[in-house]
Amino acid sequence: MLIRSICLFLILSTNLFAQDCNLTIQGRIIDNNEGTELEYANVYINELSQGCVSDSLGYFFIDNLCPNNYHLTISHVGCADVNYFITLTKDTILSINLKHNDQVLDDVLIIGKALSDDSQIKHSINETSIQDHALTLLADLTADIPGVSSLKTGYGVSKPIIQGNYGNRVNILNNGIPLAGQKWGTDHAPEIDPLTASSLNVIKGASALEHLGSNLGGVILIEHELSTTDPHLHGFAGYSFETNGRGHSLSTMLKRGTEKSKWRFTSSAKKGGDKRAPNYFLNNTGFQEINASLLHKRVLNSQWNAELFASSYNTEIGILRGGHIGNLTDLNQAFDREVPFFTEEEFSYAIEAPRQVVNHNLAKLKLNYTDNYKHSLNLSGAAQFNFRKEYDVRRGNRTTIPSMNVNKFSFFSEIKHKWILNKNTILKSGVQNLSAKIKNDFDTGILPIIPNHISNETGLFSILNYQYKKHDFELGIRYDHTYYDVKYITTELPRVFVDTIHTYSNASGLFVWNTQVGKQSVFNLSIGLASRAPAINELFSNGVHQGVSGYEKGDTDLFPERSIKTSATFRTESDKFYQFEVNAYHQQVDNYILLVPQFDVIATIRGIFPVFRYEQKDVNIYGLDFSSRLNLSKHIHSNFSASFIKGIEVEVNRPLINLPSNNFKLDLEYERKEDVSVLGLKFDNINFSLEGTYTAKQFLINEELDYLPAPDAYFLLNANFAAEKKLEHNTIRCFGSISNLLNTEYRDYLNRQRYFADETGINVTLGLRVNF
Amino acid sequence: MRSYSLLFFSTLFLAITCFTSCSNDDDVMVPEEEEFINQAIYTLTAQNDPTDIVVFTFLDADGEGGLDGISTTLGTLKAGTTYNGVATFANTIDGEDITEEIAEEDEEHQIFFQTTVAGLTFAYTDQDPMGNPIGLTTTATTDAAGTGTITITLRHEPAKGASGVSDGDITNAGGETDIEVTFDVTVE
Repeated sequence: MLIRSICLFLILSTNLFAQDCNLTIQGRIIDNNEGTELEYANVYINELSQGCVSDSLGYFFIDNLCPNNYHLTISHVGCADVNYFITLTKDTILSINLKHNDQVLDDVLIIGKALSDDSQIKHSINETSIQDHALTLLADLTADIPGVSSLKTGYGVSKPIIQGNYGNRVNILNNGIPLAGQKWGTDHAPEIDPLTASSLNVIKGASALEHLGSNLGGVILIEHELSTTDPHLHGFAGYSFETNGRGHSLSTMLKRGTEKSKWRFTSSAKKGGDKRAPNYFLNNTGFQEINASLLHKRVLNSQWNAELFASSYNTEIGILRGGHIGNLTDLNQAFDREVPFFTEEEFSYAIEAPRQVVNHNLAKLKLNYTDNYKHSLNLSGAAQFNFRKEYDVRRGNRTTIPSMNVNKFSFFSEIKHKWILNKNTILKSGVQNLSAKIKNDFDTGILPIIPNHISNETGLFSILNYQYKKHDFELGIRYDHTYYDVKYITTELPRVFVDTIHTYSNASGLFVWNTQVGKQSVFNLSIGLASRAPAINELFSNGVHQGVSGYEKGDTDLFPERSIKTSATFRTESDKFYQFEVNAYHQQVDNYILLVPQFDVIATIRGIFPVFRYEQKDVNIYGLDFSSRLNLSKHIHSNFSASFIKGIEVEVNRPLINLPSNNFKLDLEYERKEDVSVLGLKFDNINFSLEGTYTAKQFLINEELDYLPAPDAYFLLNANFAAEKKLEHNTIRCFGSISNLLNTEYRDYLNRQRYFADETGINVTLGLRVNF
Repeated sequence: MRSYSLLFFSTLFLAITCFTSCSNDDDVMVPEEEEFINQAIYTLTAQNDPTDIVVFTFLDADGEGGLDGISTTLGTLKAGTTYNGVATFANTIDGEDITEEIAEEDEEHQIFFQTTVAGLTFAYTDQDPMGNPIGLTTTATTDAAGTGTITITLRHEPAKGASGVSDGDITNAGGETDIEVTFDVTVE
């Protein structure tokens, strides 16, 4: 399910008369979907800093060219810029087919019906957007998509919530490989650097059956696109600085390729110090990161090709010192403070305990076979190594010894077969396995919260896609088997290891109907049945969760969660004046696993701790996401989006906790893609926007299940700008943003740190990137 | 092509061998809980009568989880008397004395004494190198008769310089609670 390049090209060259510096490139740009011409598309020759705009019939013409190698950039509203390499030896006619059913709403690209073997709707964040927000966490980037929020623990740890589902329910795939991280606990972020990706894609719909892992709560696909056929070295190098936390980021991407062999290399390094709330520093919220990835593709022969991928993610994150507390008394004291404990006057880059040190490494090999006619076969194997060390403030010089030190080794293997039965029907089938070994280092001197265990997940799926006139249908089934071999330590004395085996079998199903309504609109309905085996933390947690001030108890008798989700989307595809997308969904989950506070407390020598136990409830989650774009003029447009969500526990009819509150976003954007001069400087592409977000107070809370009432509603004002200048061989992009422009004091319901401290105040980001 | 498929199948083979052979039966020892404290004892000895001893003991025999800890009070305090107090902490499961560790890191620790009995007061008789109290040794002075509770709190990394903290007021101390135990007390 790779998303291929968003704009596809078809090049037809015709031999005319070749003369020195009198060559021409001409052609026509056509909308691939509707077969209509595209006016105002820019065709630009990078070497000559010269270009033209297609006329009302989509034609363009460039003359007086010398025989040479040229890099062309073709851009059009609604498409990401695409580069093309051409060796000009003769007059050339190009027929360029841009696929133009993609829609941009507020920088979020919506991809529907992009591939014939995939009817699900994806929302995508592109490379430019990722790189312009180089110091933003993965979950906060995807939170730009309506219906997606982030669940945070402090300022350096956040995980995505997709239409109310988070944690173990959200499946994240890095270049097709299920991320075998340690995602238990809200204080564990996904182990991925977004800067290595070429795009981030979110499937909110019913369920994506093609992937191993939870298909109950949405899928995030981290894509690494590599379709270049340019033999020269291209890429970019960028630097960003942000004032809040004095963070720096360096990132580079290099790629080159031929028809036979191509590669892409990315690297990034980031460092930041204490962030600042409007009135005080947030002590020990610094971080540092160093990451790299390498993708290599090679055509072996006419039928086989191979792909090698490796990535490494290495981070150290400080956790707010004032948010790290002991028992219930400490917690109550912390609530009463205006300014958190341990707040200092001075800014610092130092990262001290409590802190997390996380490494995640992945190596993948994929072989792809195609008979160029009906069948294609994918064989993948990937090994992942995950190391997580968490350091707490400890006695006896033990602060340098991790309190938790868990390693996870996993191997993923997959065989996928795609069979084109006829021009309307595609059948995809596959078998997958993920084996993992999770091992504690017992030198921590603390009993582990997660026991040593081996897990083994095997899945089988089959998905049929059928196209009939304007309708696309998708029908899928999936079966998963999960096996855990767990070696836990008894709570009773004497402490001994107990070996136990748990197995679960789950079946899932999916139906999708995608249809064209009129000329310019699409309706998509998906109904998915999904189930998820309980995760190891839900079964076996046992101990005081430091910083959460609770004694967490797992339950080894939990059943798998079973969900039925219906999702309906309607969107317009015209780009003339007004476009919108509306998505309504309803999800019923039986045996929804939830950490529920108990009426009893546990008396330890450290004091009284509330007891939380993993319990199962039947819940209903439903909501509506809306996004729209209003084109006020050729250069000015306005985006509006809104998300509403509600969840209830069915039996007791009380609200489900940890759901985002209703939120709204409105922006006004000025964008100009041709020559423009600002303050006497000439630019080729500029963009300014002012954005306001309003997050309502979460009234749907369960007071019994929380220490404090939900924080008040808040309004934030943000601004963004970007300007590009094309030079002979390079494009220079300056970009920046101001978030929380009014330096508003606020707290967010979905941030665990709301009990202790305010969110961050004003932050100005400035960056420069050279594309070459 | 051949080298790639060779690489692929050898990786697959390696992985399968690894995961079938790496079963979950590694011979590992149950880890020791190093910082763990499950016993706190506060002993009060009358200054005018060394045989007049009152002992407050909290013991969570099986550690956190399992059975709850139990607090016991042996003896009653006499009205209008000054006692010398000694606090000790231990891990009885692994047989470790934690008091020493606290004494070594005295600047990072402070013990707080709070009571609901009117007239019962506590004073520190020890100091860390910075001149701030620790609380391993104290005096307790009773006034009139009464009954109530004493709560003993051991804080790690408290703000010893914050207002009132060196006088034994816990309000501004912050830090993390390593111990918080409550005992019944009677003054006759």
